Amino acid sequence: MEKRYEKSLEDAALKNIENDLLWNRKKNHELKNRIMMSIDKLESPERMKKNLNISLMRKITYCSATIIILIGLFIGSAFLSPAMAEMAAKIPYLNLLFESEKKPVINEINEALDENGYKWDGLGVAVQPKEVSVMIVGSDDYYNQVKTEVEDLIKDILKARKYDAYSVKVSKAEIYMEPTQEDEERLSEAIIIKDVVVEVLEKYGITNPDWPQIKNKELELQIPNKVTNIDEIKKEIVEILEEKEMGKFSIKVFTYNPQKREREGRWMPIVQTISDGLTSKSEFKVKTVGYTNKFNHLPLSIYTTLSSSDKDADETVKAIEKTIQDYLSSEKVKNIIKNDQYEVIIYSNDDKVMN
Amino acid sequence: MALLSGSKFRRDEIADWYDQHSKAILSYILFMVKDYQQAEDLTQDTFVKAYKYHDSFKQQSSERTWLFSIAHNVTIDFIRKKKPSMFLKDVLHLQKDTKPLPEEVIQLQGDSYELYKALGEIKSTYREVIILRKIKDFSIEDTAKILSCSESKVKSMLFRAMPVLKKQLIRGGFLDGKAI
Repeated sequence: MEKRYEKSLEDAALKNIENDLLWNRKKNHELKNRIMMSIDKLESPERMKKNLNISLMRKITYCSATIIILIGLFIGSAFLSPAMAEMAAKIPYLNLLFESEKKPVINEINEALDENGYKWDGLGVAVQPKEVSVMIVGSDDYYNQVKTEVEDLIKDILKARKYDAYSVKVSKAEIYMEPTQEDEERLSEAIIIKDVVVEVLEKYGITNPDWPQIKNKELELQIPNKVTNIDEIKKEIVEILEEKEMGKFSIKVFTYNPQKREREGRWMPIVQTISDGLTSKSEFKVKTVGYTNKFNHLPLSIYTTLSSSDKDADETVKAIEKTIQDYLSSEKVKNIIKNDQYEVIIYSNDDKVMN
Repeated sequence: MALLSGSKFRRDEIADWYDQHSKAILSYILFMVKDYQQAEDLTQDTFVKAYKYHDSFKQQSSERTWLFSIAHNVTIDFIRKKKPSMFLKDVLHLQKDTKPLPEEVIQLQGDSYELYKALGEIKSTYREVIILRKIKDFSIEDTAKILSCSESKVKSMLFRAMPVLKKQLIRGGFLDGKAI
Protein backbone atom coordinates (compact mmCIF):
# COMPACT_ATOMS: atom_id res chain seq x y z
CA MET A 1 0.00 0.00 0.00
CA GLU A 2 1.28 3.42 -0.82
CA LYS A 3 2.24 5.50 2.18
CA ARG A 4 0.38 8.76 2.15
CA TYR A 5 3.47 10.93 2.52
CA GLU A 6 4.85 9.54 -0.69
CA LYS A 7 2.51 11.96 -2.39
CA SER A 8 3.07 15.08 -0.38
CA LEU A 9 5.14 15.03 2.70
CA GLU A 10 5.01 18.78 3.06
CA ASP A 11 1.47 19.22 4.10
CA ALA A 12 -1.14 16.53 4.38
CA ALA A 13 0.92 13.90 6.17
CA LEU A 14 2.41 16.29 8.68
CA LYS A 15 -0.89 17.98 9.37
CA ASN A 16 -2.53 14.61 9.85
CA ILE A 17 -0.22 13.73 12.65
CA GLU A 18 -2.24 16.02 14.91
CA ASN A 19 -5.51 14.40 13.90
CA ASP A 20 -4.03 10.98 14.44
CA LEU A 21 -3.19 11.67 18.04
CA LEU A 22 -5.76 10.09 20.33
CA TRP A 23 -5.73 11.53 23.82
CA ASN A 24 -6.90 10.07 27.05
CA ARG A 25 -9.29 12.71 28.34
CA LYS A 26 -8.95 11.67 31.93
CA LYS A 27 -5.17 12.07 31.79
CA ASN A 28 -5.58 15.46 30.18
CA HIS A 29 -7.88 16.52 33.00
CA GLU A 30 -5.44 15.20 35.59
CA LEU A 31 -2.65 17.27 34.08
CA LYS A 32 -4.87 20.33 34.27
CA ASN A 33 -5.46 19.66 37.96
CA ARG A 34 -1.74 19.32 38.52
CA ILE A 35 -1.10 22.63 36.82
CA MET A 36 -3.80 24.45 38.74
CA MET A 37 -2.47 23.00 41.97
CA SER A 38 1.00 24.27 41.15
CA ILE A 39 -0.44 27.69 40.46
CA ASP A 40 -2.32 27.66 43.73
CA LYS A 41 0.87 26.77 45.52
CA LEU A 42 2.59 29.77 43.98
CA GLU A 43 0.05 31.99 45.68
CA SER A 44 0.60 30.39 49.03
CA PRO A 45 2.65 32.48 51.44
CA GLU A 46 3.43 29.25 53.25
CA ARG A 47 5.11 27.88 50.17
CA MET A 48 8.40 27.36 51.92
CA LYS A 49 6.87 25.40 54.74
CA LYS A 50 6.07 21.77 54.83
CA ASN A 51 2.43 22.10 55.61
CA LEU A 52 0.57 23.15 52.57
CA ASN A 53 -2.04 25.46 53.86
CA ILE A 54 -5.41 24.94 52.33
CA SER A 55 -6.32 28.52 53.12
CA LEU A 56 -4.92 29.45 49.74
CA MET A 57 -8.12 28.04 48.37
CA ARG A 58 -10.06 30.52 50.37
CA LYS A 59 -9.12 33.50 48.26
CA ILE A 60 -11.45 36.42 47.82
CA THR A 61 -13.67 36.20 50.80
CA TYR A 62 -15.62 39.30 51.03
CA CYS A 63 -17.71 40.66 53.83
CA SER A 64 -19.13 44.13 53.64
CA ALA A 65 -18.80 44.63 57.36
CA THR A 66 -15.09 43.90 57.35
CA ILE A 67 -12.61 46.68 57.67
CA ILE A 68 -9.96 46.18 55.05
CA ILE A 69 -6.58 46.91 56.46
CA LEU A 70 -4.30 47.66 53.61
CA ILE A 71 -1.84 47.25 56.28
CA GLY A 72 -3.23 48.64 59.45
CA LEU A 73 -6.05 50.85 60.53
CA PHE A 74 -9.61 52.07 61.08
CA ILE A 75 -12.18 54.76 61.17
CA GLY A 76 -12.95 57.90 63.08
CA SER A 77 -14.28 61.08 61.76
CA ALA A 78 -12.60 63.92 60.14
CA PHE A 79 -12.14 65.58 56.95
CA LEU A 80 -12.96 66.16 53.40
CA SER A 81 -14.79 65.19 50.33
CA PRO A 82 -14.38 65.90 46.62
CA ALA A 83 -15.29 69.56 46.85
CA MET A 84 -12.48 70.33 49.27
CA ALA A 85 -10.11 68.17 47.33
CA GLU A 86 -10.48 70.50 44.38
CA MET A 87 -7.45 72.56 45.36
CA ALA A 88 -3.82 72.08 44.57
CA ALA A 89 -2.50 69.26 42.43
CA LYS A 90 -0.09 69.38 39.57
CA ILE A 91 0.93 65.76 38.91
CA PRO A 92 2.42 65.23 42.29
CA TYR A 93 4.15 62.32 43.92
CA LEU A 94 1.26 59.88 44.23
CA ASN A 95 0.06 60.45 40.68
CA LEU A 96 3.50 59.65 39.37
CA LEU A 97 3.49 56.57 41.49
CA PHE A 98 0.02 55.61 40.26
CA GLU A 99 1.18 55.88 36.65
CA SER A 100 4.33 53.90 37.27
CA GLU A 101 2.71 51.28 39.42
CA LYS A 102 1.34 49.22 36.58
CA LYS A 103 3.96 46.79 37.75
CA PRO A 104 4.08 46.32 41.53
CA VAL A 105 7.52 46.55 43.08
CA ILE A 106 7.46 42.85 44.02
CA ASN A 107 7.01 41.92 40.35
CA GLU A 108 9.81 44.20 39.27
CA ILE A 109 12.18 42.62 41.80
CA ASN A 110 10.99 39.13 40.86
CA GLU A 111 11.73 39.74 37.18
CA ALA A 112 15.10 41.37 37.91
CA LEU A 113 16.16 38.34 39.96
CA ASP A 114 15.11 35.98 37.19
CA GLU A 115 16.71 38.05 34.46
CA ASN A 116 20.00 37.97 36.34
CA GLY A 117 19.70 34.22 36.73
CA TYR A 118 19.70 34.10 40.51
CA LYS A 119 18.36 31.00 42.23
CA TRP A 120 15.92 32.36 44.73
CA ASP A 121 12.66 31.75 46.50
CA GLY A 122 10.37 33.33 49.04
CA LEU A 123 10.43 36.93 47.89
CA GLY A 124 8.41 39.21 50.15
CA VAL A 125 7.70 42.91 50.49
CA ALA A 126 6.54 43.63 54.03
CA VAL A 127 5.19 46.96 55.09
CA GLN A 128 5.45 46.49 58.82
CA PRO A 129 8.39 46.64 59.26
CA LYS A 130 9.23 47.95 55.82
CA GLU A 131 11.44 45.30 54.42
CA VAL A 132 12.08 43.47 51.19
CA SER A 133 13.25 39.94 51.88
CA VAL A 134 14.42 37.23 49.56
CA MET A 135 15.85 33.80 50.16
CA ILE A 136 18.66 32.38 48.08
CA VAL A 137 18.45 28.74 47.08
CA GLY A 138 21.62 26.67 46.79
CA SER A 139 24.90 25.94 48.48
CA ASP A 140 26.57 28.11 51.12
CA ASP A 141 29.19 29.08 48.56
CA TYR A 142 26.54 30.20 46.10
CA TYR A 143 24.75 32.15 48.81
CA ASN A 144 27.95 33.92 49.88
CA GLN A 145 28.80 34.63 46.29
CA VAL A 146 25.52 36.32 45.33
CA LYS A 147 24.23 37.76 48.61
CA THR A 148 25.70 41.25 48.15
CA GLU A 149 24.87 41.36 44.45
CA VAL A 150 21.23 40.51 45.12
CA GLU A 151 21.05 43.04 47.92
CA ASP A 152 22.45 45.76 45.66
CA LEU A 153 20.11 44.83 42.84
CA ILE A 154 17.06 45.21 45.07
CA LYS A 155 18.37 48.43 46.62
CA ASP A 156 18.81 49.92 43.16
CA ILE A 157 15.20 49.10 42.27
CA LEU A 158 13.95 50.65 45.50
CA LYS A 159 16.13 53.70 45.00
CA ALA A 160 14.81 54.20 41.47
CA ARG A 161 11.31 54.20 42.91
CA LYS A 162 12.35 56.53 45.74
CA TYR A 163 11.32 53.91 48.30
CA ASP A 164 13.73 55.10 50.91
CA ALA A 165 11.97 53.58 53.91
CA TYR A 166 12.66 49.94 53.02
CA SER A 167 15.48 47.79 54.20
CA VAL A 168 16.63 44.70 52.29
CA LYS A 169 17.19 41.29 53.81
CA VAL A 170 18.84 38.48 51.86
CA SER A 171 18.96 35.13 53.61
CA LYS A 172 19.58 31.50 52.78
CA ALA A 173 16.50 29.44 51.90
CA GLU A 174 15.35 26.64 54.10
CA ILE A 175 15.30 23.30 52.41
CA TYR A 176 12.10 23.10 50.46
CA MET A 177 9.93 20.26 51.60
CA GLU A 178 7.63 18.79 49.02
CA PRO A 179 3.97 18.66 50.07
CA THR A 180 2.96 15.28 51.39
CA GLN A 181 0.53 13.03 49.60
CA GLU A 182 -2.08 14.06 52.15
CA ASP A 183 -1.49 17.74 51.42
CA GLU A 184 -1.87 17.11 47.72
CA GLU A 185 -5.11 15.21 48.27
CA ARG A 186 -6.56 17.97 50.43
CA LEU A 187 -5.75 20.55 47.84
CA SER A 188 -7.11 18.39 45.08
CA GLU A 189 -10.39 17.98 46.99
CA ALA A 190 -10.56 21.72 47.58
CA ILE A 191 -10.24 22.34 43.85
CA ILE A 192 -13.09 19.93 43.10
CA ILE A 193 -15.28 21.66 45.70
CA LYS A 194 -14.42 25.07 44.32
CA ASP A 195 -15.24 23.95 40.76
CA VAL A 196 -18.64 22.58 41.84
CA VAL A 197 -19.55 25.76 43.72
CA VAL A 198 -18.46 28.05 40.90
CA GLU A 199 -20.37 26.00 38.33
CA VAL A 200 -23.60 26.05 40.34
CA LEU A 201 -23.36 29.76 41.12
CA GLU A 202 -22.73 30.55 37.47
CA LYS A 203 -25.72 28.42 36.53
CA TYR A 204 -27.84 30.65 38.75
CA GLY A 205 -26.64 33.73 36.91
CA ILE A 206 -23.94 34.87 39.32
CA THR A 207 -21.10 36.02 37.10
CA ASN A 208 -17.52 35.61 38.19
CA PRO A 209 -18.53 34.18 41.56
CA ASP A 210 -16.25 34.13 44.58
CA TRP A 211 -14.58 30.93 45.58
CA PRO A 212 -15.98 29.23 48.63
CA GLN A 213 -14.24 29.24 51.95
CA ILE A 214 -13.80 25.64 53.04
CA LYS A 215 -13.82 24.77 56.72
CA ASN A 216 -13.81 21.02 57.07
CA LYS A 217 -17.32 20.02 56.03
CA GLU A 218 -18.68 23.56 56.01
CA LEU A 219 -18.60 25.91 53.05
CA GLU A 220 -19.00 29.66 53.25
CA LEU A 221 -20.33 31.34 50.14
CA GLN A 222 -20.52 34.98 49.13
CA ILE A 223 -23.61 35.76 47.07
CA PRO A 224 -25.01 39.07 45.76
CA ASN A 225 -27.83 40.30 48.02
CA LYS A 226 -30.39 40.30 45.20
CA VAL A 227 -30.21 36.56 44.64
CA THR A 228 -33.43 35.00 45.95
CA ASN A 229 -33.09 31.27 45.41
CA ILE A 230 -30.36 30.71 47.95
CA ASP A 231 -31.90 27.53 49.41
CA GLU A 232 -32.07 26.00 45.95
CA ILE A 233 -28.41 26.85 45.32
CA LYS A 234 -27.33 25.37 48.63
CA LYS A 235 -29.30 22.19 48.01
CA GLU A 236 -27.81 21.73 44.55
CA ILE A 237 -24.22 22.19 45.73
CA VAL A 238 -24.71 19.74 48.59
CA GLU A 239 -26.23 17.16 46.25
CA ILE A 240 -23.51 17.41 43.62
CA LEU A 241 -20.77 17.13 46.22
CA GLU A 242 -22.44 14.04 47.61
CA GLU A 243 -22.72 12.55 44.14
CA LYS A 244 -19.02 13.16 43.69
CA GLU A 245 -18.44 11.34 46.97
CA MET A 246 -16.93 14.41 48.57
CA GLY A 247 -19.05 13.92 51.70
CA LYS A 248 -21.93 15.85 53.20
CA PHE A 249 -21.39 19.57 53.50
CA SER A 250 -23.31 22.28 55.29
CA ILE A 251 -23.35 25.71 53.66
CA LYS A 252 -23.35 29.18 55.14
CA VAL A 253 -24.23 32.05 52.87
CA PHE A 254 -23.11 35.66 53.28
CA THR A 255 -24.61 38.26 51.02
CA TYR A 256 -22.94 41.36 49.69
CA ASN A 257 -23.96 44.57 47.99
CA PRO A 258 -22.68 44.52 44.38
CA GLN A 259 -22.66 48.34 44.15
CA LYS A 260 -20.39 48.63 47.13
CA ARG A 261 -18.18 45.94 45.76
CA GLU A 262 -17.98 47.80 42.47
CA ARG A 263 -16.99 50.92 44.41
CA GLU A 264 -14.32 48.97 46.21
CA GLY A 265 -12.97 47.67 42.90
CA ARG A 266 -12.50 51.27 41.73
CA TRP A 267 -10.91 52.43 44.95
CA MET A 268 -8.55 49.54 45.58
CA PRO A 269 -5.73 50.63 43.25
CA ILE A 270 -6.09 54.19 44.49
CA VAL A 271 -5.81 53.23 48.14
CA GLN A 272 -2.98 50.88 47.27
CA THR A 273 -1.07 53.76 45.67
CA ILE A 274 -1.69 55.97 48.71
CA SER A 275 -0.46 53.17 50.93
CA ASP A 276 2.62 52.43 48.83
CA GLY A 277 3.46 56.10 48.40
CA LEU A 278 3.07 57.14 52.01
CA THR A 279 4.63 54.13 53.65
CA SER A 280 7.63 54.03 51.35
CA LYS A 281 8.78 57.58 52.14
CA SER A 282 10.18 57.99 55.63
CA GLU A 283 9.34 61.71 55.82
CA PHE A 284 5.62 60.92 56.06
CA LYS A 285 6.05 58.66 59.09
CA VAL A 286 3.13 56.52 57.91
CA LYS A 287 2.83 52.99 59.29
CA THR A 288 -0.28 51.73 57.56
CA VAL A 289 -3.18 52.79 55.38
CA GLY A 290 -6.64 51.27 55.29
CA TYR A 291 -10.27 51.81 54.51
CA THR A 292 -13.69 50.38 55.16
CA ASN A 293 -16.35 49.75 52.59
CA LYS A 294 -19.10 49.43 55.14
CA PHE A 295 -20.56 52.93 55.01
CA ASN A 296 -22.13 55.08 52.36
CA HIS A 297 -19.02 57.23 52.38
CA LEU A 298 -15.56 55.73 52.26
CA PRO A 299 -13.25 56.52 55.17
CA LEU A 300 -9.52 56.32 54.49
CA SER A 301 -7.41 56.00 57.59
CA ILE A 302 -3.74 56.85 57.76
CA TYR A 303 -1.88 55.47 60.77
CA THR A 304 1.35 57.27 61.59
CA THR A 305 4.17 56.99 64.07
CA LEU A 306 3.63 60.66 64.99
CA SER A 307 3.17 61.50 68.61
CA SER A 308 0.06 63.53 69.40
CA SER A 309 2.14 65.65 71.77
CA ASP A 310 4.77 66.45 69.17
CA LYS A 311 4.59 70.14 68.26
CA ASP A 312 6.15 69.56 64.88
CA ALA A 313 3.71 66.82 63.95
CA ASP A 314 1.33 69.32 62.38
CA GLU A 315 3.71 69.97 59.53
CA THR A 316 3.90 66.27 58.67
CA VAL A 317 0.12 65.91 58.94
CA LYS A 318 -0.31 68.79 56.49
CA ALA A 319 2.21 67.22 54.12
CA ILE A 320 0.31 63.93 54.23
CA GLU A 321 -3.04 65.67 53.68
CA LYS A 322 -1.73 67.70 50.80
CA THR A 323 -0.13 64.68 49.15
CA ILE A 324 -3.38 62.73 49.33
CA GLN A 325 -5.55 65.62 48.22
CA ASP A 326 -3.28 66.51 45.33
CA TYR A 327 -3.67 62.96 44.18
CA LEU A 328 -7.40 62.54 44.74
CA SER A 329 -8.21 65.84 43.06
CA SER A 330 -6.28 65.06 39.89
CA GLU A 331 -8.50 64.59 36.84
CA LYS A 332 -7.53 60.99 36.30
CA VAL A 333 -8.34 59.92 39.84
CA LYS A 334 -11.52 62.01 39.97
CA ASN A 335 -12.78 60.08 36.95
CA ILE A 336 -12.25 56.85 38.81
CA ILE A 337 -13.79 57.81 42.12
CA LYS A 338 -16.73 59.58 40.44
CA ASN A 339 -19.03 61.13 43.03
CA ASP A 340 -18.10 58.83 45.90
CA GLN A 341 -17.88 60.57 49.23
CA TYR A 342 -14.79 59.87 51.24
CA GLU A 343 -12.94 61.15 54.27
CA VAL A 344 -9.30 61.07 55.27
CA ILE A 345 -8.39 60.51 58.89
CA ILE A 346 -4.81 60.75 60.09
CA TYR A 347 -3.97 59.05 63.37
CA SER A 348 -1.10 59.49 65.77
CA ASN A 349 0.71 56.50 67.24
CA ASP A 350 -1.62 56.70 70.25
CA ASP A 351 -4.71 56.66 68.03
CA LYS A 352 -5.57 60.35 68.31
CA VAL A 353 -7.03 61.99 65.23
CA MET A 354 -4.47 64.49 64.02
CA ASN A 355 -6.42 66.36 61.35
CA MET B 1 -7.62 42.19 47.82
CA ALA B 2 -6.35 43.64 44.56
CA LEU B 3 -3.62 41.04 44.39
CA LEU B 4 -6.06 38.23 44.99
CA SER B 5 -8.50 39.54 42.42
CA GLY B 6 -5.67 39.76 39.90
CA SER B 7 -4.46 36.27 40.65
CA LYS B 8 -7.97 34.85 40.39
CA PHE B 9 -8.33 36.45 36.97
CA ARG B 10 -4.98 35.09 35.87
CA ARG B 11 -5.80 31.64 37.20
CA ASP B 12 -9.11 31.56 35.35
CA GLU B 13 -7.42 32.70 32.17
CA ILE B 14 -4.71 30.04 32.42
CA ALA B 15 -7.41 27.39 32.98
CA ASP B 16 -9.15 28.64 29.87
CA TRP B 17 -5.93 28.64 27.86
CA TYR B 18 -5.21 25.13 29.05
CA ASP B 19 -8.56 23.95 27.69
CA GLN B 20 -7.83 25.56 24.34
CA HIS B 21 -4.14 24.88 23.82
CA SER B 22 -2.87 22.14 26.12
CA LYS B 23 -3.04 19.33 23.58
CA ALA B 24 -1.17 21.34 20.97
CA ILE B 25 1.48 22.35 23.50
CA LEU B 26 1.81 18.85 24.92
CA SER B 27 2.17 17.23 21.52
CA TYR B 28 4.71 19.87 20.44
CA ILE B 29 6.83 19.15 23.51
CA LEU B 30 6.31 15.42 23.07
CA PHE B 31 7.61 15.61 19.51
CA MET B 32 10.58 17.55 20.81
CA VAL B 33 11.60 15.46 23.81
CA LYS B 34 10.10 12.10 22.76
CA ASP B 35 9.26 11.15 26.30
CA TYR B 36 5.63 11.43 27.30
CA GLN B 37 6.16 11.83 31.04
CA GLN B 38 8.76 14.50 30.49
CA ALA B 39 6.46 16.21 28.00
CA GLU B 40 3.73 16.34 30.64
CA ASP B 41 6.11 17.87 33.17
CA LEU B 42 7.32 20.48 30.70
CA THR B 43 3.73 21.28 29.71
CA GLN B 44 3.03 21.87 33.36
CA ASP B 45 6.09 24.16 33.55
CA THR B 46 4.85 26.03 30.50
CA PHE B 47 1.44 26.85 31.97
CA VAL B 48 2.83 27.64 35.41
CA LYS B 49 5.31 30.05 33.81
CA ALA B 50 2.49 31.56 31.78
CA TYR B 51 0.70 32.23 35.06
CA LYS B 52 3.80 33.58 36.74
CA TYR B 53 4.74 35.91 33.90
CA HIS B 54 1.21 36.73 32.84
CA ASP B 55 1.96 40.43 33.28
CA SER B 56 4.55 40.29 30.55
CA PHE B 57 2.05 39.01 27.98
CA LYS B 58 1.71 42.17 25.90
CA GLN B 59 -0.86 40.82 23.47
CA GLN B 60 1.40 41.75 20.57
CA SER B 61 0.97 38.17 19.52
CA SER B 62 -1.82 35.70 20.16
CA GLU B 63 -1.82 33.82 23.44
CA ARG B 64 -1.18 30.66 21.41
CA THR B 65 2.05 32.08 19.99
CA TRP B 66 3.04 33.34 23.44
CA LEU B 67 2.39 29.96 25.04
CA PHE B 68 4.41 28.23 22.35
CA SER B 69 7.31 30.60 22.88
CA ILE B 70 7.28 29.69 26.58
CA ALA B 71 7.03 26.00 25.68
CA HIS B 72 9.96 26.44 23.28
CA ASN B 73 12.12 28.04 25.99
CA VAL B 74 11.15 25.46 28.59
CA THR B 75 11.90 22.61 26.20
CA ILE B 76 15.20 23.97 24.91
CA ASP B 77 16.23 24.73 28.45
CA PHE B 78 15.45 21.14 29.37
CA ILE B 79 17.32 19.70 26.41
CA ARG B 80 20.40 21.86 26.92
CA LYS B 81 20.73 22.20 30.64
CA LYS B 82 18.94 19.38 32.33
CA LYS B 83 20.01 16.63 30.00
CA PRO B 84 23.50 17.31 28.69
CA SER B 85 23.76 13.79 27.32
CA MET B 86 20.58 14.32 25.31
CA PHE B 87 21.97 17.58 23.96
CA LEU B 88 25.19 15.87 22.98
CA LYS B 89 23.34 13.08 21.21
CA ASP B 90 21.31 15.68 19.43
CA VAL B 91 24.38 17.58 18.30
CA LEU B 92 26.06 14.39 17.17
CA HIS B 93 22.88 13.13 15.47
CA LEU B 94 22.97 10.02 17.58
CA GLN B 95 19.49 10.18 18.91
CA LYS B 96 17.86 6.79 19.05
CA ASP B 97 16.13 7.08 22.37
CA THR B 98 12.55 7.81 21.36
CA LYS B 99 10.48 6.16 24.00
CA PRO B 100 7.34 4.34 22.90
CA LEU B 101 4.18 6.31 23.54
CA PRO B 102 2.29 5.15 26.61
CA GLU B 103 -0.83 3.73 24.96
CA GLU B 104 -3.04 4.27 27.95
CA VAL B 105 -2.40 8.00 27.63
CA ILE B 106 -1.88 8.78 24.01
CA GLN B 107 -2.04 6.84 20.77
CA LEU B 108 -0.81 7.74 17.38
CA GLN B 109 -2.64 6.03 14.59
CA GLY B 110 -1.39 4.52 11.36
CA ASP B 111 1.39 6.02 9.33
CA SER B 112 1.65 9.01 11.64
CA TYR B 113 3.55 6.91 14.13
CA GLU B 114 6.23 6.31 11.54
CA LEU B 115 6.40 10.02 10.90
CA TYR B 116 6.62 10.69 14.63
CA LYS B 117 9.55 8.30 14.90
CA ALA B 118 11.27 9.82 11.88
CA LEU B 119 10.85 13.31 13.34
CA GLY B 120 12.45 12.04 16.52
CA GLU B 121 15.53 11.00 14.60
CA ILE B 122 16.42 14.37 13.11
CA LYS B 123 18.13 17.19 14.94
CA SER B 124 15.99 19.24 17.25
CA THR B 125 16.30 22.58 15.43
CA TYR B 126 15.03 20.98 12.22
CA ARG B 127 12.39 19.03 14.08
CA GLU B 128 11.13 22.14 15.78
CA VAL B 129 10.76 24.26 12.69
CA ILE B 130 8.89 21.42 10.93
CA ILE B 131 6.58 20.98 13.90
CA LEU B 132 5.79 24.67 14.17
CA ARG B 133 5.36 25.38 10.48
CA LYS B 134 3.97 22.14 9.11
CA ILE B 135 2.19 20.51 12.00
CA LYS B 136 1.12 23.44 14.16
CA ASP B 137 0.57 25.63 11.14
CA PHE B 138 2.18 28.77 12.52
CA SER B 139 2.99 31.55 10.07
CA ILE B 140 6.63 32.33 9.35
CA GLU B 141 6.27 35.49 11.42
CA ASP B 142 4.89 33.67 14.46
CA THR B 143 7.40 30.85 14.14
CA ALA B 144 10.17 33.46 14.18
CA LYS B 145 8.64 35.00 17.30
CA ILE B 146 8.47 31.64 19.04
CA LEU B 147 12.03 30.74 18.14
CA SER B 148 13.30 34.29 18.75
CA CYS B 149 14.99 34.40 15.37
CA SER B 150 14.55 36.13 12.03
CA GLU B 151 11.92 35.15 9.50
CA SER B 152 14.61 34.43 6.92
CA LYS B 153 16.23 32.01 9.32
CA VAL B 154 12.91 30.18 9.68
CA LYS B 155 12.60 29.91 5.91
CA SER B 156 16.13 28.66 5.38
CA MET B 157 15.92 26.22 8.28
CA LEU B 158 12.71 24.74 6.95
CA PHE B 159 14.22 24.52 3.48
CA ARG B 160 17.05 22.45 4.90
CA ALA B 161 14.93 20.47 7.34
CA MET B 162 12.40 18.95 4.96
CA PRO B 163 14.90 16.96 2.84
CA VAL B 164 16.48 15.68 6.05
CA LEU B 165 13.12 14.38 7.23
CA LYS B 166 12.50 12.75 3.87
CA LYS B 167 15.88 11.05 4.01
CA GLN B 168 15.09 9.80 7.46
CA LEU B 169 11.81 8.31 6.27
CA ILE B 170 13.61 6.54 3.45
CA ARG B 171 16.27 5.26 5.83
CA GLY B 172 13.54 3.91 8.08
CA GLY B 173 11.98 2.17 5.10
CA PHE B 174 8.83 4.25 5.38
CA LEU B 175 9.28 6.07 2.12
CA ASP B 176 10.36 4.97 -1.27
CA GLY B 177 13.63 6.58 -2.42
CA LYS B 178 12.21 7.69 -5.71
CA ALA B 179 9.76 9.98 -3.99
CA ILE B 180 12.46 12.52 -3.18
